[in-house]
Amino acid sequence: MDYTKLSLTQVADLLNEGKVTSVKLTKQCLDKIDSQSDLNAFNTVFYEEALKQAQKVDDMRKKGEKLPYLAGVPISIKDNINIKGYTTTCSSKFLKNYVSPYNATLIEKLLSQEVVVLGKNNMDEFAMGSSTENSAFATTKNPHNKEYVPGGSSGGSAASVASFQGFASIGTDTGGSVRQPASLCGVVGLKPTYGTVSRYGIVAFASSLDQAGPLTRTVKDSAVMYSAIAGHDDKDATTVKFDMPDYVKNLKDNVKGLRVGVIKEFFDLGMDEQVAKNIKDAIKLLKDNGAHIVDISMPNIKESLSCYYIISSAEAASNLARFDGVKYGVRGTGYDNLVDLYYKSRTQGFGSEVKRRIMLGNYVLSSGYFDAYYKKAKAVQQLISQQFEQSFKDCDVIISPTSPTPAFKIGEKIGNSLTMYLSDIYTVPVNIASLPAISIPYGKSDLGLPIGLQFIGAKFSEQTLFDVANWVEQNSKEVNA
Amino acid sequence: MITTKDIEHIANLSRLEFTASEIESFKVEMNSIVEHMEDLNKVDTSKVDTVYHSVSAKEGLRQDEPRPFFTPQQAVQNAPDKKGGEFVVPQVLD
Repeated sequence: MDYTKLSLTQVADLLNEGKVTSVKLTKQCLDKIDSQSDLNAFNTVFYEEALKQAQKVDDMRKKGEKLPYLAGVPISIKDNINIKGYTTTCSSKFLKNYVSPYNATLIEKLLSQEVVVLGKNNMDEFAMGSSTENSAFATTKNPHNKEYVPGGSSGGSAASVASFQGFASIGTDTGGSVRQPASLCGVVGLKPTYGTVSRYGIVAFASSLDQAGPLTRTVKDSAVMYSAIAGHDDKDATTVKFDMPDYVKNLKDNVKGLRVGVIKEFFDLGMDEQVAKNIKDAIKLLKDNGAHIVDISMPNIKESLSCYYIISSAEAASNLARFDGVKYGVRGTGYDNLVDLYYKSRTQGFGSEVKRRIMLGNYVLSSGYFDAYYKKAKAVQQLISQQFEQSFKDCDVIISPTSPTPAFKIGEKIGNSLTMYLSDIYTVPVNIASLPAISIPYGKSDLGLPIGLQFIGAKFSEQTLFDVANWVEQNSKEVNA
Repeated sequence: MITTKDIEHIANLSRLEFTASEIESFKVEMNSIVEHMEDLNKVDTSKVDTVYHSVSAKEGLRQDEPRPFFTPQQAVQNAPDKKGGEFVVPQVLD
């Protein structure tokens, strides 16, 4: 039997019931990875280590040891999250040989659950991009049509889950990098409330926006994976202590009385016709089943994009200053002195999108421009957050498309950065306001490319997001057939 | 309008080297991005704070106790040039 097409919770149940071994599941996943290696979803595959861990779990289970729920489940990890003893390349030439001396906190948590890690997923270099075309190694392909992008920056994660190369992946989302590839590849992607998942051990892009989140094939799987990685961490001072309920147990089976907000300004921001039709269908589905649709106005929502690019580039320029060719990574060649070493290492090591963001970041932070750009962006960020807070007084959840379009062709947008940046228009406001949001597959375009639906919630409202997303998933099977 | 000189200055701040033609295309690109960002100037932010905290709760500090971390050898294990537990770089002081 081909177990790879089952959901994470289905295989976890089978493992716990002794109906399948972890070695069998792992072997099937590794075979799927190999037979689809042209998708370029992985930078590194842990063939030996994965099977070793799977065998260890099977042995423990045979001995009758009590194991965590996720024990033996094969998953993958985006290549900007550190796993001790393995490379963390961030899909950059700079770090292609960097072997991590430590585990990220979320990895410690997953390892304590005895999961099987299949390998590290390809991504846009240093998480900067919306198509995985900025990977220094290879472009990941969309499993639904290999001429199309999988989205980014967690494109490898999304493609691997969508093509059954594992039961979940952990990606990172700074401006939509979990949700947008999830949308383009037809899987579920969660960006948690800022502060609920530790960033310790994740290579920083924009520290006030980054959050790790799961990519899975079902909403229940997403809830299980989120519970496994979330929690306060004293190694990350930006994490918070919060109550974590049993999200799956608490899932509601209806949407009666749920107040669903629709941001009217979103419809004027380049929404593709088919995407617009899909979201209107979804709104009708919810309304027909007892939800109350509420019109919301967020007058400054479109400024989120500029706000995001100023803040994230500024933070990225600061965070990437550590890559100097001294402590780790490749050292440039042809240098005359120490400062020249920095120039050569960074010029030779970084790809063009990374350089672009560093330049933009240093520009907005530089003297003479700081007030006009950075300070202004921080004030607009405050305004947008306040507008969201105000909106959540009138609704429980906001619905929107995840991406204005389905997947685009490889090479189509890479030549024009502004066009590429515009594909983040529905996702970046969420990071700007530190809110949680989930993307679920909802229909396909005429070309058979997945379209994603996004639900945005108030801070710490993951249960509401799982409730509505799960309900829509369970009640729209024909849409996704 | 970002000038060539501006790009050269930012490149120095960024410790990045570009060819003359790369500088020119950067100039065009950044001008169009920055033009887009000018839309922020139309937003009335007179009533908001410029300080934004994503996380409002103060979780407290941990005890000021040393904890095991990397050994010097582990810390330099990925360095392109190292000696003992130290990084090796070109001479800085005469």
